Amino acid sequence: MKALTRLILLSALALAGCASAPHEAGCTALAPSLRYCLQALPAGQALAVNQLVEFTLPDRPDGERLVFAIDAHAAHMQIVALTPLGQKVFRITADHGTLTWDGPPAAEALGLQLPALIQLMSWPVDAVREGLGQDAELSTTAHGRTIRQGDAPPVLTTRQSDTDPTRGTIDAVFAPMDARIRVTRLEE
Amino acid sequence: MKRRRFVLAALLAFLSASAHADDALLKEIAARVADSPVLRAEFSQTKTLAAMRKPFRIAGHFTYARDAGVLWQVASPYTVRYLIDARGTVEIGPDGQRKARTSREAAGAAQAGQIMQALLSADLAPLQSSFVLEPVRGADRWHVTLTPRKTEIARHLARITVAGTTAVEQVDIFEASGDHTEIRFTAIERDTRLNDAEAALFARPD
Repeated sequence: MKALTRLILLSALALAGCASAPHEAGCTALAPSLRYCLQALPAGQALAVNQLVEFTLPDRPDGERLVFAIDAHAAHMQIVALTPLGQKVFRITADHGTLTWDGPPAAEALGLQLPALIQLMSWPVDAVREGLGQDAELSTTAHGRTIRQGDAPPVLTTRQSDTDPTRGTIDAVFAPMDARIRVTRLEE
Repeated sequence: MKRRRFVLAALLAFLSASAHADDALLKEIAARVADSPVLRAEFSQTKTLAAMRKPFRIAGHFTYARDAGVLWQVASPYTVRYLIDARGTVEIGPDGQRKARTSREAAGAAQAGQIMQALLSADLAPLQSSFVLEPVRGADRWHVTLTPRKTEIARHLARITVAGTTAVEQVDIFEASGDHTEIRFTAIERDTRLNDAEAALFARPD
């Protein structure tokens, strides 16, 4: 459960300021004046992947690992978090912006923020820009993404091994909490 | 009234005979799954999550030691090792570093290990206290269905089936949510002692 706690904490910090920011269905605060609203996948696109998510925090230099099973199409998205031995930790369903949580109640409020972080890293660029609105700038190259607000340091920086972020490996830095995240697609 | 008593007595006698038959078959299965101090196998686990299109698969090596516990060494698609014994669950990293884990983080593997341990040691009492055991004998295989006795367990776990011939070869865990975990054991071999590498992994620093 420590892994879950850490991941939830990571997400919580990633979305710091949530409590004070205006809230609407499917929208999550990334910083006090920066939010992201969940986006549907473009018509005809679907995603069904298993990913190994490894992350470190300054106070957890040894890191933690979870497997995310992600299944998405249109405005429907499901995320199931598993331990490396395959034990289910929680399930999140996002359906047209409505989020449903199946997991430890204590982790619900923070766990429901995870879909936003996953979309920022791997959803189509146009969809992410739409979800960020006017408050933030998303810059992209073939090797990764950077999200920043004005002249402030990047909120999120990713480097991806494949031009398609749902493939290969993504190394991400979430600056507000100095978190390092590695997402590796698990192939059959 | 006499007729009712007769029917009731006949029913009780039938249920009692059926229970005795089940007990006898369970003992026979436990005898077939002959005990040995150490059992090794390759395992493959497929987890099919309700409403998810892509199943999640891991595979690796399994070691059961009668006096020490169970070791799951996942080799694909990543490497991770879990030691589950009477003192709890420990994750062993590639560098040998050990992290204590809650039993919930390896609950499925722990259940499979407990079932195997109960069958291998022919000590079914711990299982029977938590589950109703229904054994079935096939032509050359047997299987046992374990149904939770307690409502609080049944809320999460629908049933477990265990199947094999002279060893436990498959464990299926059916969760109430619709998730299904299948664990297959192959290349099963018995031994009298752990090898040095296994002994080092099973050793618990005080």
